[in-house]
Amino acid sequence: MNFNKIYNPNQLVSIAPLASFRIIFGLAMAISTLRFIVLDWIEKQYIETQIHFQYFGFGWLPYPSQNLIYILFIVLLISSLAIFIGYKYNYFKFLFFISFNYIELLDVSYYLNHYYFVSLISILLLFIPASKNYSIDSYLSKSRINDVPRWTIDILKFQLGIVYFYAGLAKINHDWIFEALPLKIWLPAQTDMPLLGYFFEFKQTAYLFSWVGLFFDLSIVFFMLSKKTRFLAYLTIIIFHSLTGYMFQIGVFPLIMSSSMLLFFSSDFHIKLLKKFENKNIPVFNYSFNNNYIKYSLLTLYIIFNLTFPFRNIPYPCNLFWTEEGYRFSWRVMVVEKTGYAIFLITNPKTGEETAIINSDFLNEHQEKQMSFQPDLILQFAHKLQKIFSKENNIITKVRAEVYVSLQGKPSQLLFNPQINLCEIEDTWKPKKWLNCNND
Amino acid sequence: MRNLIIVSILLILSCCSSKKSNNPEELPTVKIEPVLINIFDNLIVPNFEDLSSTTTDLETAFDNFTNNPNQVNLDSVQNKYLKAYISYQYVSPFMFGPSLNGISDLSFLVNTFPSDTTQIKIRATDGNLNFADFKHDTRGFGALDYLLFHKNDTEIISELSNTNRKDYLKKVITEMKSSINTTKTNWINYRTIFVSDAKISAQSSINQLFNANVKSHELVKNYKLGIPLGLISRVSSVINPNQIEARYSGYSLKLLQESLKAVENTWLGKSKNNINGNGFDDLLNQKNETLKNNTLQQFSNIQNAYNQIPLNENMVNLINNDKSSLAGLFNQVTSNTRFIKSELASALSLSVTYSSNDGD
Repeated sequence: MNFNKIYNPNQLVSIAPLASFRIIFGLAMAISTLRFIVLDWIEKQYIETQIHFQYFGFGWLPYPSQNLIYILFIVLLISSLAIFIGYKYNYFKFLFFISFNYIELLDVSYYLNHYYFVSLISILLLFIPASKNYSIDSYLSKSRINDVPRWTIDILKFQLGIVYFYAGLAKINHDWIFEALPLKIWLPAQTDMPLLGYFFEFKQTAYLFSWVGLFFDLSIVFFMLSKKTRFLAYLTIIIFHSLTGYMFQIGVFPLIMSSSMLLFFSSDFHIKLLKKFENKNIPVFNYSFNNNYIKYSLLTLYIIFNLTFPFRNIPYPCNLFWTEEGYRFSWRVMVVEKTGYAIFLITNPKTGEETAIINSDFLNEHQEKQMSFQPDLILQFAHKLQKIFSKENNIITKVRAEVYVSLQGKPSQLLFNPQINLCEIEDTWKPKKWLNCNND
Repeated sequence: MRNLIIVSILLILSCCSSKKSNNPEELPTVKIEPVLINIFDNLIVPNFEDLSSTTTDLETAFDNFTNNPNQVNLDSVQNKYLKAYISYQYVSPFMFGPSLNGISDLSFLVNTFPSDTTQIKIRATDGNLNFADFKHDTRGFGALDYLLFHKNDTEIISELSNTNRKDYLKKVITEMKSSINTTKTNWINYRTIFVSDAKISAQSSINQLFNANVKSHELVKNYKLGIPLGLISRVSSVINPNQIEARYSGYSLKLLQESLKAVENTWLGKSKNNINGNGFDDLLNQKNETLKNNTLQQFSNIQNAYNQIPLNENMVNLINNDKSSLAGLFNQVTSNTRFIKSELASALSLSVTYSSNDGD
């Protein structure tokens, strides 16, 4: 096969980078989960909330009881730690996959691109023999392998590459390049930052940051792939993520991303890094190939999905940042400043009178903030209000909403005609024709 | 590749250095500190001092009344009640920081409404002076409103000849005075912390101030208008036009007006003496003139809508008979939320959530 000369996915390479990645990822996820628990976010986000926004297509997923939610988090914490030390990896990778993704699916208003990244990694871990060395598993089974097929590492590099490169593609738009938006709005709020704060007062800084950010996202993977530029590129990654981590509230993710990028370093680098954990007394075995075509087809599908799914916004006719059709799962990270204000009005079918509701009676601050400008959440909330206020002998049939959304700091505009009865609209894949387009 | 990096670094450096040599274009920056100083020195502290002194006056007037219970002295007590209640409206936008008291804040302690009049009746009759529980709706301005106004003056004077009732009322006043004075002192000592935190992070002074003012606005919109007017539905509660502030004394509309003004003043950075210093409007200067003008216009729309209300009428009667003018005011107040909350947050990078969630 000619293809194999260019790229042979089964070429054996050192397992060390994979093992490092497993260790780093497991540790980072354990820290992240622990932080989540310590900050009381389980209670605030999943237990004290009355309404939960479902992911499209996942309406059937039952909302777990309070105890089950705690159990999910404990399972997540334990499986992260198990992945970290490489203990019973083949079980815990499944538990990690299930617990993390179940938690993510509980409420779409907490969606973050970085959580989506973790979800994708949780899928890849299912296919990757990351625990065959430098792990408790290899110690207990008294066997280790030193070499793995290169696709197991390359698929992770591909995934990391997608995150940065597509985040770069998302920045290729008029606002980012020619208006330095939203950084022009965000930077002046950071003027108290040591050293750099002074520069944030100038327009040029916003443009500089926008362009450098764009260049960084698009190119960093390629600089990491080349041995010559790798060290400098990694230094840039550290600076970039420290800076964004300091300036914006993005939690542990700068840490996860910058440590994951170590994967691009050579096998020798990782072998040295893991030297302390190497147990030379354990016999080395060869990697056993099972020509599992299902596995390869799935991985091919996975790659195609990753390459194409972020572009699904293209067929939709309206401004993507405005209607958010195809906005999630496409690495559009920090490219838009958006706020909204939504007033919901319910018609009493008996009296015909229309009354407003208090959003915070039903939603927490975060949910309310997210709901106020995301069309699918607005629709879901309207439908949930319909249910809540309907009584056996008085079924609500009309819920309207007056939603003003401000995009990139511009004066707010109506997201859709407030006369529309939201009870009559269903959320689908089709273009949301009930929304105003805002193609300016 | 290496060359590429060197070139890009040089590019970055040249950008930075050219910035110094040329005349760099300044973005309208957000100068937080002057706003914090003005609002602290000219609004928060004087308004708390004012509330503290009007409450002391109320106490003195009530002592005079108990020594000499007659119509003139009752008039004086009722008059001082109104004065104190009005000054309370001007601290309402500042229910954060030193105004917090454990899980509640000063507004819970002194202005929980509607009152539980049944309980007030029982407690006043029994002379139950245990104020340690969380029945805040048996105390504060709401209790004064009931005890001083629920019947005609002659009957009130006669009711208050009862020692238990008199003691209860006195205790209501001293409790209010004590929590108000504590809060005032805490605020005065808070200046350095407040003013020096001139950042825009989630827990910073300006963010707390912004959110507290929005909360005060929402309180007026929901609890002083929407709910009693029956224009807001809630799942559990029954709509009742009597659930308004100062229902018995009939000062509801007056207090409503003052509380709207307090929110506007805070946004403007305007003191009670009408001296307009640095406020949120000044932060929007140059940065977002449209939003500034829209908000000013909306405050004026609110004022106009308020002027449409027949002020000689009692609010309860208006709600029952013709609530159109009040509904008009509710709509104008509602329309202001997007200006003073969501758009302002966006323009100044303020955070509308206290809780720290991760972002993208």
